[in-house]
Amino acid sequence: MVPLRILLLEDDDNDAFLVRRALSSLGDKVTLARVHNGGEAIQYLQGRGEFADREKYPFPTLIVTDLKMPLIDGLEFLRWVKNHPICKPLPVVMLSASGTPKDVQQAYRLGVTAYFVKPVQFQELVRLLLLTHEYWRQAEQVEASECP
Amino acid sequence: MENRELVLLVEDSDDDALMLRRAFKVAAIAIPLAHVKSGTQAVSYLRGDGDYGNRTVHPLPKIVLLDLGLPEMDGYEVLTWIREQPGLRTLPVIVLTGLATGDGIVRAYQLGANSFLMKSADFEQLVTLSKALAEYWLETKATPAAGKVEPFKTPYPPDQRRVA
Repeated sequence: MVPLRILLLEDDDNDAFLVRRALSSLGDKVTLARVHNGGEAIQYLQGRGEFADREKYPFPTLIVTDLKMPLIDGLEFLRWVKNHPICKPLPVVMLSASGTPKDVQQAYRLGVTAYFVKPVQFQELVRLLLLTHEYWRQAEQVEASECP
Repeated sequence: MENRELVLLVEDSDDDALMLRRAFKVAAIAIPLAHVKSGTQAVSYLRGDGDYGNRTVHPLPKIVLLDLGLPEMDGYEVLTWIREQPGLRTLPVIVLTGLATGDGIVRAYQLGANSFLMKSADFEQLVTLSKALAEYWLETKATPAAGKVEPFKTPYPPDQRRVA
């Protein structure tokens, strides 16, 4: 089975750690690369700087992003991806502490693939992320390798 | 208005629809499945034309499973129409098709499909897929905005049906 390659946008170290732990039972069925904000994620997708090494920083098949982040936040990042001619088909899943209608609506307006409210309980987070893996491993993906 | 739990299946093949219905049953998915057989019927359903206007009987779906090869108005055209409706922006549309090319997958994603699944001829696999898809999408957070679709000023214009 080809591993699901997740790019995680998360500014909070604790939350990033919890996501990594939640996915740990999957072993090599999933790879997780983490960046701290939308700006870094764009550089990652463009393969700029250190991210040019695709062995170390594989191009993702799924993006999981936080909403509120410094510099370039989740919504601005979403706008960038969904306006990019090559990278538009990349699934971008929002995982945010906020479930306010305004945030949810804006994310959909910008083309978010799916929106989840981050569970407070760790076991719930595990369940959601395992479900995310189970679903996306079965979905057909667009094979891109760069968002120039 | 919160959407009632319902999956709308747009599928011209009765056999495929039956298979999926059975897969839902085996996977113990409680959500009801409504089935329409063409793209134009799907638009009518979502727009609430005629009998479909009774949202107690025909509630707006939580997710749409869309085949691509449909008579008259194909899946790409349905997808284009859905994404043009402000009230349906949050509606997850999952392409579920038996035949796909790389270009077809790209095109569906470009037009705003939330994801793309290949129908499996293997029943067990279809059960696994149904289970993951129902659980995953029912968990998503949507806004009640999808409760209303703006009525059309004109009927679906045939001359604008093709998309680039």
